[in-house]
Amino acid sequence: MNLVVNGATHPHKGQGAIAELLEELHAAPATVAVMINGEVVRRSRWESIRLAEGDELEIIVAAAGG
Amino acid sequence: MDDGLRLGDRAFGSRLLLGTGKFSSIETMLAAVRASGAELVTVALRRFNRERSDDDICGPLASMPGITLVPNTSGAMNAREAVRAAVLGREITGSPFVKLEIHPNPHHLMPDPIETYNAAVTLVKEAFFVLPYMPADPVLARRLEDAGCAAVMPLGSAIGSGQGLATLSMLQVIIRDACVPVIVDAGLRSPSEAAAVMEMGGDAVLVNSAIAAAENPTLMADAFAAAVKAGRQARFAGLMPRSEAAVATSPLTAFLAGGGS
Repeated sequence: MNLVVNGATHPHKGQGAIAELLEELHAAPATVAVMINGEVVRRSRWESIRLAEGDELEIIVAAAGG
Repeated sequence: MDDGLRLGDRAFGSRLLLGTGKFSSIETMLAAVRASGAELVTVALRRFNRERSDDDICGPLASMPGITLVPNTSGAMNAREAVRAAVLGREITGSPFVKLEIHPNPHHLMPDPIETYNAAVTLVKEAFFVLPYMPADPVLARRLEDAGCAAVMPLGSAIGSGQGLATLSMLQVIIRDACVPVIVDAGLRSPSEAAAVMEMGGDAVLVNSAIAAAENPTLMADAFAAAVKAGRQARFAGLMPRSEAAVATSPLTAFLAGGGS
């Protein structure tokens, strides 16, 4: 299915689990936060989520900043 | 003399908070954090980028003993975005602290007091320890304090400007009246300014550019740490009274003048 990840189309090959997507992106799960269609999805809810065609995700990490 | 900086339900020995932006490399930043003795260190948020996945900033900071991360809400244009950023920051860092900053105008980066207040009210309800970056306005400081913020963080001058304590007289009023810690944030350039804040009763300072943009960031971090400590000690030591006229420190006896033998 096609997802929109951080503004770019991403062809997802798995079953729509957040953990699968993060693995595809080579993102370490412990270092990211996930938003789906504008809503923050807390880590505790990741397992219960199945992504759907066209879902817009933001994968956020910490960066240097004041 | 010093029972530490109390924020929320925590206490910190260091009264120097450090920002991690603008350093030439992560290694330089980590060395500066170490030299500063800072226990509270701010981080920003950005989109994950596969090409930059190796520059994880949380990992190395989290492995340093005694460091608590303070994610900021930089980039938020209003209260709604700031609250969302705060939730994201807590997800990533696990920290209960948030540096609330909403400065929609990129030319002066002055904090929006109304959006900042509104976001603070929401974040306090969400059980954050809110550290709001704010204009040096005593009325707003009181309102943020009443809203339940863990501290107030008035600016010395514009972010990254190095213009020092341009707001000095208002900072003095805020420090005099506040019942929560006052952390002077933004605009500091030299350690003497940090010492001045501590001497006048400020509880802490947050420094980033002054250290990151110094020729030798590690040495400057050490200098700021010493200045903050010196200023705090001076505050407790009690400054001598000021006098209009000179007051001699040596006996003004006349034995050098006149006399025959």
